[in-house]
Amino acid sequence: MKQLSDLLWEAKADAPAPRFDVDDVVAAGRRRKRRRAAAWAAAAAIVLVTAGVALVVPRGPAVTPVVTPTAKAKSFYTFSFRGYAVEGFVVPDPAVFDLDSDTSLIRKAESTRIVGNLVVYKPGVEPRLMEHQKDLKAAPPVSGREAWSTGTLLFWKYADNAWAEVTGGNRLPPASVREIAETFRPGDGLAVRVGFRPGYLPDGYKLTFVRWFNTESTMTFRDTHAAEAELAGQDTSSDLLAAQNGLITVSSGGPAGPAATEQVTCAMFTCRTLLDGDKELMVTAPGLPESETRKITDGITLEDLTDSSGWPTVNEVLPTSSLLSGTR
Amino acid sequence: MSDSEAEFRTFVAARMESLRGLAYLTCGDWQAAEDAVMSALSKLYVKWSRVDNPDAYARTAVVRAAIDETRRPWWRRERAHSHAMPDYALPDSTDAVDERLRMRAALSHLPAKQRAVLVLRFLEGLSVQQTAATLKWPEGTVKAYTSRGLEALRQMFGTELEVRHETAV
Repeated sequence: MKQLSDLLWEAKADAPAPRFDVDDVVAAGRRRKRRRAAAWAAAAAIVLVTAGVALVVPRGPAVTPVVTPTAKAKSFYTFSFRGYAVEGFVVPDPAVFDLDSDTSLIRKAESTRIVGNLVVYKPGVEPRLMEHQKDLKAAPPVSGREAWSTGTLLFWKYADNAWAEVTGGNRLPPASVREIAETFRPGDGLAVRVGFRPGYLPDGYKLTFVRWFNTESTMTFRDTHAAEAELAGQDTSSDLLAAQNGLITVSSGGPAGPAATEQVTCAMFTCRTLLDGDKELMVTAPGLPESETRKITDGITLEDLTDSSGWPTVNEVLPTSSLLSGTR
Repeated sequence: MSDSEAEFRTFVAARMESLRGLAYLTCGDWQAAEDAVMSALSKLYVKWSRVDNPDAYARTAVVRAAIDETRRPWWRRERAHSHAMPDYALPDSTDAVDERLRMRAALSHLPAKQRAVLVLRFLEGLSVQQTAATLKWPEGTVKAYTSRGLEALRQMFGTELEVRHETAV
């Protein structure tokens, strides 16, 4: 008769050699730190992927919409490139939009497994190369332009004053990383789409971040002053607490946490409700009173989470007052 | 390299292997386990100077990330068997029973949350209270998952499974 603790220990005893080491962990941490400072995707659901679900109308009392969608404006919210394929891998249309960059989640061909990211920075935005300086090595040019690498990461200039990077860790071979970079072409990007329609948003916030993947869709709004400062290239990273309080993040379709119930429940700046069993709608707003966060949650109308191609564009669901304009 | 980063590196070097094992037993796949550990430790890197108990933070983040890994669609396609418990004991087919494989097979039949609770309680040696704090679940939920998970393992092993309660409840 064996102890359960001994059996559990033995069950993991023949572990394969790890795919990464301490240096890889530190490099990943630095990248995460850099992206947080650039995009302020602080709160909420960045958990990936579940199977599709049918359209669900959120519970709670009906809310008379107080947001009037605008006519189509010249779209600030447009991705900067289209997806493409290379040998063995797919670079889909971008899934992440923020003020500094667009990101595509690279996956193996005929698979949904994510193996890396392609991040394309807006002209004038320089990736925080200084954080990697000691690890950076000059790499062979990409499409005739300067390039740098750290082994699992390749930076290159895709245009004058415009950078991009491919990261993949150990799941994306170096040859594929280079092929992805060499094949990349900017332009022809599609309008940013979202999987839900907010029926209510408080005044004084602008949309600064959109992310979608399969059934999950996230929008983050930032207080207008900070959003416009960031768009103008000013450093807004000095006051983390103020930055956190200035965010509203709405996320639908991600895996439900243990706190989600069929009723809208609110705690610790977050309101959430179950969607069709195992997914949730979540609204996080540290700077708002609970009544406002609950009002936002109650006002959300979901799109068909099984078909993102039919989702509306950002310009179709938000009023002008919630949108930035100009160029990125 | 700053002192802070040096401390972080020392922590990762010391804990990475055990966190891999913790994630693996929770999600059942080494690659997914490593993804969970990498995600958790890179988050810890960002918060390192503000975290009082990095051990507890890492354990919580790894287990939660490993549970999340089991929700991906590739997980549901690639697993050869469901999470439903069998209604028969696992066969004791040869004299040289490989208990490692039997335990893995038995764990694979449990829901991810029950696996996480059993691993935290009986491999990491946490109490009910500590497990509840790690997973941010009510203590009653932890007790229920412990009870159901142990019962399921006992049915699957077909022999008495001894559980030594090494920590106070």
